[in-house]
Amino acid sequence: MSGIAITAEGLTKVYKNVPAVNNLSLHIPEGTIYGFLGPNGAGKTTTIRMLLGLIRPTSGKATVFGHDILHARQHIAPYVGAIVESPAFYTFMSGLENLRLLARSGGHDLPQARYDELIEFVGLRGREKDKVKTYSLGMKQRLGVAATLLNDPKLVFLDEPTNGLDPAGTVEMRNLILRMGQEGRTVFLSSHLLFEVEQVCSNVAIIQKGVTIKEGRVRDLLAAEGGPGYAIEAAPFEKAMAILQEIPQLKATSFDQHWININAEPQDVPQVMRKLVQADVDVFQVVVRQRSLESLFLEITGTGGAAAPQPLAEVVVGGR
Amino acid sequence: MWNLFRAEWTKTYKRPANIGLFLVTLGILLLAFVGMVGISFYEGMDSQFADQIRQLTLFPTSLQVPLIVLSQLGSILAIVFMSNSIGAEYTNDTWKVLLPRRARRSDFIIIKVIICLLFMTLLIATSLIFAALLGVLANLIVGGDISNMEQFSASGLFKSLVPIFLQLIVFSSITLLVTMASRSTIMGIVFGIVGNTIFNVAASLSKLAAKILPNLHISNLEAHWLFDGEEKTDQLDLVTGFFGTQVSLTTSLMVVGAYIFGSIIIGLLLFQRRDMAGQ
Repeated sequence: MSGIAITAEGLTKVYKNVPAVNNLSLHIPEGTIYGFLGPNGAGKTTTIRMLLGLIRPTSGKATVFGHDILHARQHIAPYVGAIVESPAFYTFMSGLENLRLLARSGGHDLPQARYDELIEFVGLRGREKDKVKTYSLGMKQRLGVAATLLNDPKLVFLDEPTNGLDPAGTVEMRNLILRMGQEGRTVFLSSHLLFEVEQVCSNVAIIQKGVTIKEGRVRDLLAAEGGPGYAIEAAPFEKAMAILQEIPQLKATSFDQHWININAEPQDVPQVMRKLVQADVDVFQVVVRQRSLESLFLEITGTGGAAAPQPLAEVVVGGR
Repeated sequence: MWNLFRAEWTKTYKRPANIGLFLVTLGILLLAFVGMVGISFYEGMDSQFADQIRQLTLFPTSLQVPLIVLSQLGSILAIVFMSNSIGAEYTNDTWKVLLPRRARRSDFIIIKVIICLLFMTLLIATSLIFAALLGVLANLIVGGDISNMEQFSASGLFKSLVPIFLQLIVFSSITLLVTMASRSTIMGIVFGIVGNTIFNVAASLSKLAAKILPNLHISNLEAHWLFDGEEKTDQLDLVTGFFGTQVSLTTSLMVVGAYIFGSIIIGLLLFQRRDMAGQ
């Protein structure tokens, strides 16, 4: 688990003078569930396709398990599984036949027990002999996961695996990803669903316009970008806001003219409350506000806009 | 490669379009025999037509029916098969699940070419057997002899099959290249069929076109290989008329080989370097 699964240095892909991926750098340790985040068109799928050898980089270098992605595919292919964008299968064949076909395409003739094991793993027992054209999107996604695991890969690429899934399907997929991680595989997860990524990933990279703008452990990134804060419900609102804004280090902000968000150390909170009370401000609630990956993402990519309201239910994780 | 072959073969015999190609070919043969028997009944069993049908449905003469059908349709069937085999992987975006599984992309194309030849061989063999059975059945109905084995010649049958195979190999190779370049099944089929027709017309109108296009070189090879004596001279004269000069067997072999191997090699090089950026 101490090795490096993926490295990329200056990885670039240009389509007709437009860079889809621009000077991308990655450093992904083995055995991690790695979140790869970015707005639409950020270059996530292009990056995955390059790492899988489907697309040739315009410039730069990348390795998978230390092997160059362009010139040493024979050392990469046996250890990698992938779902790229939507699941693609031969719809005129059954799920089981698709799995067998894909295994054989990779040069493996697996025993029936292995197919049974994978079908069980992804919860398709009883439907494996039905034609794929009768499958729901969720079932196709799960079959896609089974297909990625055929060769028992050390590295799994999952590109938007929860796209189009209902909430139950999303939870199932999240559990599958966690199980893959528990089995010691490196999972490279590209997703729009930031809450999902936060739930399962230990490390993330955030890319925008093909450039890595943040990379690191989720916990470290959240801490570095402000860490926990507090949300205060007080009246009259304007007066409370004015008092709190007099203390610049609190960085008091509000998105809804109701709750005021501040950054403060726990030991400073009583003093802040005292100041409000002494000014005849009524304080109704003070709750801990945990920084979410979503708010971090929106802030650093600018995709949410400075005035984008953050739903309180997502940011408040506990009270005092 | 053996497992890849098995995977590709499974795909081939399960793909509805290929089952359709098989059924269409056998259906045309069935219609031909049903038509012949039906007209015999209509004309009367003592009629001259019924006598002709008894001769035509007599084995091995009955094999002429599939040979005629395949000489007309064989290259079109191969074009549709090859174009669909490669184009469907683009259309359904299944290259993305196949290619990361192997180090060499070329393996997939080499296997597809082999499978195309195997499929067409099976189609031809099945058509011949089916036609022979239909002939027996037809003769039982119209009251003739079932077979006349003295007429059967394996080398004669082989000679009849050579031009069919040459046509389908050349045009399936060109189709492979066009489908690969256009990433489209439809483009492959359209170019294959239209190209075949245009090549034929161009070769008959222009001596230069005749020399650089494959069709008349295939005819030249047939004339050299399949005919003897006076018949060979007649065939060679006919082909020489189109070329404007005598073209040697080696030259035709090189031109036809260049189309087959050139198309496959350029297709492979294109496929090796091409980005699979999805649909």
